[in-house]
Amino acid sequence: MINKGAGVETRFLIIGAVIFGFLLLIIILFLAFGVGGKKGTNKATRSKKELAESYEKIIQNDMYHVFGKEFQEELRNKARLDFQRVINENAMFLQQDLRLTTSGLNDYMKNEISSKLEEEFSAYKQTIKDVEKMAADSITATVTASQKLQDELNQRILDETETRKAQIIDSFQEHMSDVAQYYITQALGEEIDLKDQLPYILRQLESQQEAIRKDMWL
Amino acid sequence: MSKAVKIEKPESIKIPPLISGQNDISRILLELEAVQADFESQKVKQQITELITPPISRRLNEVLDLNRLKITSPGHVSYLIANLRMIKQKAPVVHVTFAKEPEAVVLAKLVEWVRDNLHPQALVNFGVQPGIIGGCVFRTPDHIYDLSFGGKLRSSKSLLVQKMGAIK
Repeated sequence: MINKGAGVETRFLIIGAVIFGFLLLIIILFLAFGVGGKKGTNKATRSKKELAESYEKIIQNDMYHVFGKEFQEELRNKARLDFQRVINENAMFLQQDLRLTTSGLNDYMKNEISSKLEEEFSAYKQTIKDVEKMAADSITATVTASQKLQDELNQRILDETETRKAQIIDSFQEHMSDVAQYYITQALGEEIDLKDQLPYILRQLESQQEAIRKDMWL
Repeated sequence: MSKAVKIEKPESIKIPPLISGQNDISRILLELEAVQADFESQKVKQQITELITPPISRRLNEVLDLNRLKITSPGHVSYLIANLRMIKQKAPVVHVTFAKEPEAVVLAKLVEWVRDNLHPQALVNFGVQPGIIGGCVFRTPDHIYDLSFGGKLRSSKSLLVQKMGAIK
């Protein structure tokens, strides 16, 4: 009961203080504008103008003169905080965008590189197969050509051998009588007496007598 | 001065076997021409009835004896020169090649055979070719008769080849 009564008194005190304050404010305002306006309007107007001009001058000299230093500092802090907040927000958005972009770029690059690599690998495989096929064909052709060449060479060697053999035999047969003749000439040429040969020569001449006579038109 | 020479068969002049080829005939002719020139010279120089006989070779002497001619007779000399020139130009010539230089006896017998069996005035030239080994090669103007041992060997080459082929 005692606390409830104290609360009511406090409220009344507060309400009363508010009302008192309000009235005091009205009185002050009345005294400030009402009395001044009646005593010298021109002076007030002039002072306003002067105030405006001076104020303009002050502003020109110091644009922050209109605010107090504390207020300026407060404004500066507030602006700094707002700026910091905006920057942080933008940084966050930028970071998110960057992450998304990076992720997308990674996926894109991965896909592109994979597809390109697959294409290149398939082309490489195809090239390897073609090269293998060409190499196999070339080896086959080379083996066939070398075999053919070897056969031709063998045949040529056989032919040459046979020809050379026949030439040697022919030459031997051709010169065999010369060899024998040379041998006999060297061995007996000086030993055979013409007197002993004369009967043989005359017999040979007599056997050829008719032919010789015909030949000489005798 | 010079008496006419009586010659029974002027064309049948005989040539001794020592004179075989054209070279021998040429030598005899040179000798006869020299004798004839000498006779002419003697005639011009002095009036002599009997000519002085110059020395003559054995071959020329044989020719004169065989044909019963005299060297002292200019007619005989002229006759002999004319006939020998004719023989040299027109007589049949054969060429015989031996393996070595033949002896005079062999040459004489061969020339005799040629003149007895082929022609009495035939001329025989000789040559040497060691490659024929033995026998001779008898050559007429148009034909060669190879009667040599070398020719026999060459013609028997097939036999030699046959024998060599049989060797294994």
